[in-house]
Amino acid sequence: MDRIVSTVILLSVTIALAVFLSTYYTDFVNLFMKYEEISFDYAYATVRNGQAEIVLNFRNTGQGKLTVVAIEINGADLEPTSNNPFPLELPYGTNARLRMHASQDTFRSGVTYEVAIRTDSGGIYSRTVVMP
Amino acid sequence: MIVKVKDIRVEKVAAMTLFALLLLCLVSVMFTLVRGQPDSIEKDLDIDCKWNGAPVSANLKWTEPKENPAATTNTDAGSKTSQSGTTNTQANTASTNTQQALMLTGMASGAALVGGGTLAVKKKLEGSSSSEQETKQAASTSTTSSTPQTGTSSAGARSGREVLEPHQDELKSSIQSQAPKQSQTSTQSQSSTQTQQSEQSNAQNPPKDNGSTSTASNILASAAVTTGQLWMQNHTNTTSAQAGGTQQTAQVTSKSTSTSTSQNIGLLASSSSAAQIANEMWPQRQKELEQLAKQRSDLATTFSTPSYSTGLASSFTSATENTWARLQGFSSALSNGLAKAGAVVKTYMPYIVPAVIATIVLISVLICPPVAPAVTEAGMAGMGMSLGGAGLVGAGVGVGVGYGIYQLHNLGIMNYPQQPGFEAKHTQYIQQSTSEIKDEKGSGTYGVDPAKEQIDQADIGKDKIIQGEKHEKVRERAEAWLKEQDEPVLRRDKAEPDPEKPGKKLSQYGLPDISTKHYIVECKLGEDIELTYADSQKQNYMQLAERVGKRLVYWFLRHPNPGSRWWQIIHELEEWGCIIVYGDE
Repeated sequence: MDRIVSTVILLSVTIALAVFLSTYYTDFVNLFMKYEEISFDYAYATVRNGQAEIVLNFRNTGQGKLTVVAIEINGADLEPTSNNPFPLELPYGTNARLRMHASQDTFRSGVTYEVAIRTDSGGIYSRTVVMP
Repeated sequence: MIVKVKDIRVEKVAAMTLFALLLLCLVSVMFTLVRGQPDSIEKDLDIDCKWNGAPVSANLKWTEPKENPAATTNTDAGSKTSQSGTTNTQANTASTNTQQALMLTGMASGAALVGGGTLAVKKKLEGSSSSEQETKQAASTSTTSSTPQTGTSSAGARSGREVLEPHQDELKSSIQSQAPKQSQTSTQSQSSTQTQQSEQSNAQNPPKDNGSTSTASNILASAAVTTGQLWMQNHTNTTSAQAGGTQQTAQVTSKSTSTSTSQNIGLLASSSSAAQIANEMWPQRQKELEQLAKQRSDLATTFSTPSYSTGLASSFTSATENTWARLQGFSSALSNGLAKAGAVVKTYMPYIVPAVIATIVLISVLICPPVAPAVTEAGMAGMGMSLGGAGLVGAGVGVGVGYGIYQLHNLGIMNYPQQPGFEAKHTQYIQQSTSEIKDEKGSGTYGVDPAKEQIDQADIGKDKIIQGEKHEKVRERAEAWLKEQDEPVLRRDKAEPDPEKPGKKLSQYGLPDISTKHYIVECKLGEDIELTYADSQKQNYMQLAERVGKRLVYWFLRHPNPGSRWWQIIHELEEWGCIIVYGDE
């Protein structure tokens, strides 16, 4: 009976250690191999219901979470009028879609707009669209 | 009654603590895995903002795994925005998969806990008797209150016997377990038991002599009472003490005429060293026992004796009808029960404590999810410590394996060719040399004279020496030819001077055999043995000749063997412009 219990305990500890080590070392390596990356799936500008619209679809393809601290259009920040939702954390693998609506006086036709996403690490990921 | 259990079995504590740690770690790992599941949550965030003073409404939709700390941040942001009256909303479409996984995790952990606990309890129950004995053996000291020693009655004795009968087997086994430890004591006990058995057999027969029976029965009754007191006072003590009490029963029986025997035994029984004292007193008691046996046989009396007088059973109430005695008996029984319960609880403590810990962990994980991350961190910390321990164990195993291999090698257990010693090597070399010489010469037997063998070897191989007689013969011929060409020899086996740097020598190209004003002559035998450095030497001399502006001459004693690589070298030399001379040409 003692041997069975000891064997079960040892096997369990071994399995638990193996699971833990695999998880731990994977995370441990990733800790030093993290990099930040945003991949834009698509971006376009359109006019809908009399309003100009810029749409960006992007994914966090980096190694960890992505912290968005600001969104810029042609170098000027979008300034929240109420509570600032930034910094906004987007976990790894997050698929996000950003829509911006404004009047056609704001987003004028024929103007090129560079929409940039700025992260807390200092990275700026931009995409350019032309308002039709 | 105070029972001191001084031996707590560390291995059980370690095993059960390990089990609890394992459970904790498994829970934490599984919980982490559950947390890491990419269970997507859609989030929607509306942001009212301004860009260059113009209002712009932005909307961000994204999906993220549930249980991610980022969710909390975003929720907070959303709630703040909602409080401010804006249109920020977050629609968490959390699925129930994670909850189900969490429940399964808890159920699995609970099942593991129950299974482990069941195993432990089963194991404990299987070994309960031995454990109790061990506990009793572990108890070192005890203090008891004395019980009345007088007023023996058969009714009370019977009731006491009924109460104590269940303990008889236990006491028997205890005495038997002590037998190997104290051979003398065992012998004494057996003698005593035999005597008492004879008493029992006598008790089964009708009494023939009432006069003698009364005396003997009184003696034995008091002895039985004392024995019972001994057992009760010491039943949590060591078994040896009980054996001592049994011995004292024999002592009482033998000292049937002494009225102070019971008191002596009581005093002895109140001490934990009763067995030791009894052992010391045994030589005297043995004589007395022999006298008693003789007396018994002489008397040939029969008397009625309760079965508890065998020494295996005893009464804790002294078997009186007195109320006070009953109360004392009850309190004694109560204290005994409490002590036993305490001992049992103490025995199970190694199982109870980890079970409580594991239960707290499980409850905290299942009922209080906010505590779960902390529990997970604690689990990870525990696993970190386990990792360190495992590393140490691994290092130890590695060192052990290395040392084991080293030992195996030294012991010759491994299939490893044993290296010959110096003497064996020397002998082997001589034998091998002799064999080679014998093979080459084809006949003759050589002894163990290394000097003669070496001379013979040199004689055989002298033609193979590159700088030997034949080489000198080639050199002489070359010099003769040079003399005919009116080319005095400037240097023999020396490096050429560097024409660009006076005083420096071009020793890096080697040492030509002969050097004249216009020629560099290299003498060769034409043997294949010279091919070892022929290629590099050829290249060096070709470069040297170019550098010093001389003609290179290769003078061979004879033509190389057909198919020899010399011919390829010769061809290359001729292509380059070297003069090749054979023999006397």
